[in-house]
Amino acid sequence: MDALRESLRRANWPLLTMVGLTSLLVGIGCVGPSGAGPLDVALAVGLWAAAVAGHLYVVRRERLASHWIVLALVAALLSPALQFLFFSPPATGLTPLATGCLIGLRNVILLAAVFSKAPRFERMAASASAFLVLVAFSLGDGLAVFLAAMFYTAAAVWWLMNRHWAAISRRRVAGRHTRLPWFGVTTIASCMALLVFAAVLLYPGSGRSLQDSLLEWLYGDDDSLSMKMEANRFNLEQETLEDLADDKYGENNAKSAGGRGGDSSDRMFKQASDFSTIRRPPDAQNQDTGQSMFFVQGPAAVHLPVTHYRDFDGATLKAESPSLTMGPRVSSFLRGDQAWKTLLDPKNRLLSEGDLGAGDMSFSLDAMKSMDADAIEELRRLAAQYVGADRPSVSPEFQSLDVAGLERALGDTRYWGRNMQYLGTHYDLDLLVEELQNDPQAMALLMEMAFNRQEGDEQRFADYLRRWRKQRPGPALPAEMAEVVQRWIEGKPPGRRQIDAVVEHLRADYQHDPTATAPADEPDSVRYFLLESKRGPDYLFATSATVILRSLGYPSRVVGGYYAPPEQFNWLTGRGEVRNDDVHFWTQVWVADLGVWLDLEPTPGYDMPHPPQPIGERLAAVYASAGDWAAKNAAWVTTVALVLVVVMLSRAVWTDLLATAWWRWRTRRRGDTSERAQRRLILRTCRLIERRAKFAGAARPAGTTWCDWVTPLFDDEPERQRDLRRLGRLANWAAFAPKRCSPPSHADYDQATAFCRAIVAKVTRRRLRPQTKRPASQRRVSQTRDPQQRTYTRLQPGTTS
Amino acid sequence: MTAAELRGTRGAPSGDAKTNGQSGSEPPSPLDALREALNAALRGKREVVEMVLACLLARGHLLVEDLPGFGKTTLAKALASAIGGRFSRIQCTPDLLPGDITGFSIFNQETRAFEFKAGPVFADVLLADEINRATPRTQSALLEVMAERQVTIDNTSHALPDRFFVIATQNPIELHGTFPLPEAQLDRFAIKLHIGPPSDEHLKQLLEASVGWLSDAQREASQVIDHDQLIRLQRQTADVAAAPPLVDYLVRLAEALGRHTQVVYPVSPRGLLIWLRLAQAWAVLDLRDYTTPDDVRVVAQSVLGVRLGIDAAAVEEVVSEVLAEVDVPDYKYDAG
Repeated sequence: MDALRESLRRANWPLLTMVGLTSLLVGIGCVGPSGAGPLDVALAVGLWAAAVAGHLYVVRRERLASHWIVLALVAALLSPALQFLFFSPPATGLTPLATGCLIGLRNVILLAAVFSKAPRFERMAASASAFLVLVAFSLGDGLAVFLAAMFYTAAAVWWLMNRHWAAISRRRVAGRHTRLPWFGVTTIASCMALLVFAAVLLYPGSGRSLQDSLLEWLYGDDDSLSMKMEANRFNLEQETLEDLADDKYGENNAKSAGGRGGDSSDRMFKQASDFSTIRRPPDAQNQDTGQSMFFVQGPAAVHLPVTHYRDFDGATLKAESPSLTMGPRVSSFLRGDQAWKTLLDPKNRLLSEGDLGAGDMSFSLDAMKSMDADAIEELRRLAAQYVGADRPSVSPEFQSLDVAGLERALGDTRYWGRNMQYLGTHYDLDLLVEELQNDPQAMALLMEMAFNRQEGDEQRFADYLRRWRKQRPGPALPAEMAEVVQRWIEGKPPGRRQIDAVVEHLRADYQHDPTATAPADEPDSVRYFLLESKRGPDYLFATSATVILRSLGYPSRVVGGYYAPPEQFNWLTGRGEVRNDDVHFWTQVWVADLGVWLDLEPTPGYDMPHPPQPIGERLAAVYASAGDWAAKNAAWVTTVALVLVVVMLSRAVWTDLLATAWWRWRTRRRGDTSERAQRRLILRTCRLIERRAKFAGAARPAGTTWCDWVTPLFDDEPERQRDLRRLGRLANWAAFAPKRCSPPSHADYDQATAFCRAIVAKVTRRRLRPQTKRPASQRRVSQTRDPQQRTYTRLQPGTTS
Repeated sequence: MTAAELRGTRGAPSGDAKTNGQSGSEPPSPLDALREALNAALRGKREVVEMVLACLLARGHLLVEDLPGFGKTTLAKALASAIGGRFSRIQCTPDLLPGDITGFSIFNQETRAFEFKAGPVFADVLLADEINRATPRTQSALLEVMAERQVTIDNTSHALPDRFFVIATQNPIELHGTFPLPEAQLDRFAIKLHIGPPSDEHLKQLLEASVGWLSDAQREASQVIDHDQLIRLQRQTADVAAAPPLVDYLVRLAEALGRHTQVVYPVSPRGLLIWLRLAQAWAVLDLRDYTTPDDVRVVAQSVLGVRLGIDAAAVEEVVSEVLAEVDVPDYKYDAG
């Protein structure tokens, strides 16, 4: 039992802690993105426990046969190879070779820690574990890795301090550990705690309060969070995207009279609704914004689609299909660059087949659905003119046709090809009407197709439309807008370049301004936005981008949903927060080659999801920005640095001044001449002198009493020496004599204040400097004395006064 | 007992004056007189004399180890005569029996009863010369005497005078036929002293002073301190205050000694008690009524010389190492 206690006492705990945390970090940091299981943690802890047991056993042994240890270390390094022979390598995100190297290195560290009684194995374990921790830290992420690395840093500092202490401490007795001074340990520990705290607070991603972050982390995926989620889901069901959009963007002008129309049950089932782009500016007084709704895994900006809008009539976006409910499905957390794979994964049911654009898309001439009564009248007039020329009269059905009837009639036809579905814009209708005016044959074709169905008419009309679309050069837009867009895509080959050019110009030339809404009487918000205001909320960006891309022949659509901004990513929990004002509109373009809808972000200030940057680039960016900042504030940085250097160089002076001022303040006279005050004065004076000696490089060794210490200090000034010894005598009384004991010398006691002040004034830091450190001019040859006599004065009682 | 009273005992109120200097016409304090007497007998060995005085005040027994002719016996005899009372001397040899030192019962023909004949231990000062030449049996007979100040013979305990004081000497050379003192015996001594050679100056004085004297016996000092005075001084020593940090310091020292790899036997609680008592005695010699870490450190070498179970050179090394290693109590104001 005693042997065990002795082993426990002599064990190298700092190193063992380091090694244990390294083992843990390798276990949880180097395992693939699936995360560490309890098995990894159990393995790490078990190996560490074995290492500790071995260390405790070895630490009692006198000699270590080092060649066997080296052999064992080599075996440990190669052990993963054997392991892989019999078992499959652990599933990590690394190659088997890299995994083997890491595991082998971990085994080496554990084994070296067992034999860390020998300094070289100790150094080996420490340096290798530092390397391994760096690797594990750069590979893994998440709070556990971060915390383990932090604790590792603390343990490493502890270990370094121990080594340093053992090296500098001249009081070290061979074969025994000397304890670290608690003051140093607590200082370092509190500094580290402060650093961690500051990192938590200052981390750029921690937009939310620390308390929330900590609570969220503490309760994690636990009950309270799911309760929160429930509440959010409830909110989501109650409030559709439209309602949230109303909150964010201001209300639809058209329905301003009734506020939010319809009863709640209606809204709950009406999952997708149209979105008007003619709105009031948002209400600045709205208190409901900023409420947390759900969380998204990973730090990247994520676009979460809810509703797709295929059609636009100049004022209102038409929802394409019953949208997906937001609640639980989107809140199943999406992680970084995995987001799109997850979103597009059919198993996830986040997006239906239809959303992918790969399913069965039934044709409808939706671009013409929004035809209004005036347009029909126009058509009717044109048809009548045409009929009057060389055709029998217009059929009675056509005479009595209304808008709904025409739409129904057109809706039954299946002419537009699949790819045409997302191509039509509200301008196409105008152009088509214009075209029909100039082309009576086409008009007749349309009429016949609609009302006098004949074999082959449909095909002919579809061919006509395609031809018509192809014949038109440039964007199918009104002249003014076409000119602008033509300028943007000038010289760009069709395809991705043109799409990028449109998006880039929108992002660069237009300003995101949520308050710059289109006026209520504006029939065409896109024209207003593109040509007049050149600023506006994100839905105008998205709508304009969609209209322009369609006019250029790229199938595209507006998407409404949520945007998880990187600023709201909480690095403690590893999740991004989506609030109710994170409603967002953006554009998707159909990429036929890949068979996917590609997100485009035309609004400046919103990021596209991108794969996480490698750690090196992130670091380089941080350094670059720090360098930029320093270059910008060069004057300040230089001044502060100079001041710091000066303060550092003269820190002894400053600290001495401060300590003396503190002494003066603590020992100021307040008419208190009690024995207690006197004792305190004397002891404070002693401590001040000791502190000065420390600054001067002649600190009192902890194992030396004051009287023994001051004796050789002023060899050349017997009077000063005598004063200091008298002070020591008084201090001995002040510190160690109970109240009933009288001071050693009444004369000294009565003049204690003056005496102490005189000593503080005379025994300066400069005077306390050791002889060898003093400049030659101040160095005095100390009088040689009989060493026997010194012994005598020290031993002889009564001479210490 | 206050410092003022302490000063009163010696009659010289100034704490700054040299302790051994008599100021003016004031009569010397008993302590100074004792010190003076011993210094006169053993020239140039003030530190040894101080330690002997401390041992006397602490009511501990003294072991002197040095070469023959360095003044061991002189010191013992001077001390005995200075404190007065009966002095006995045992010259230890291998054939010395326990009865020879403790005394024995003898049948008195006249009274028809056993009568106890007190041995040489029934004295105020007992000088056991060359104690390591006695057999273990004889040595252990001294155990009870030294520890309990009583002799038990035939189930009857005979108390010794309460100022009973043993000075044992031993010779570090000529180890043939000697019986090194067992640890149990050594622990009963308070301190072990080395006298060492006097300096040339004192040697000259010694030689010059010897001219004209037929023998040393002629100048044996007279008694300078009476029984009550000695008891009072010992009482004062026991009353000297030891602050909690100081006690803590002593315990930490003992613990550090126990941890030291070279130390065979840790310091016993009795050893710690006598250590504290000697520190107190040192404070009394310094005219204080409280002990300080300095006192503890000054007496450490002598106290530990008989305790750690290692030879003298190792003791010196170990003790200085431990004294340098263990932090002395800080100068902190303790309201208690």
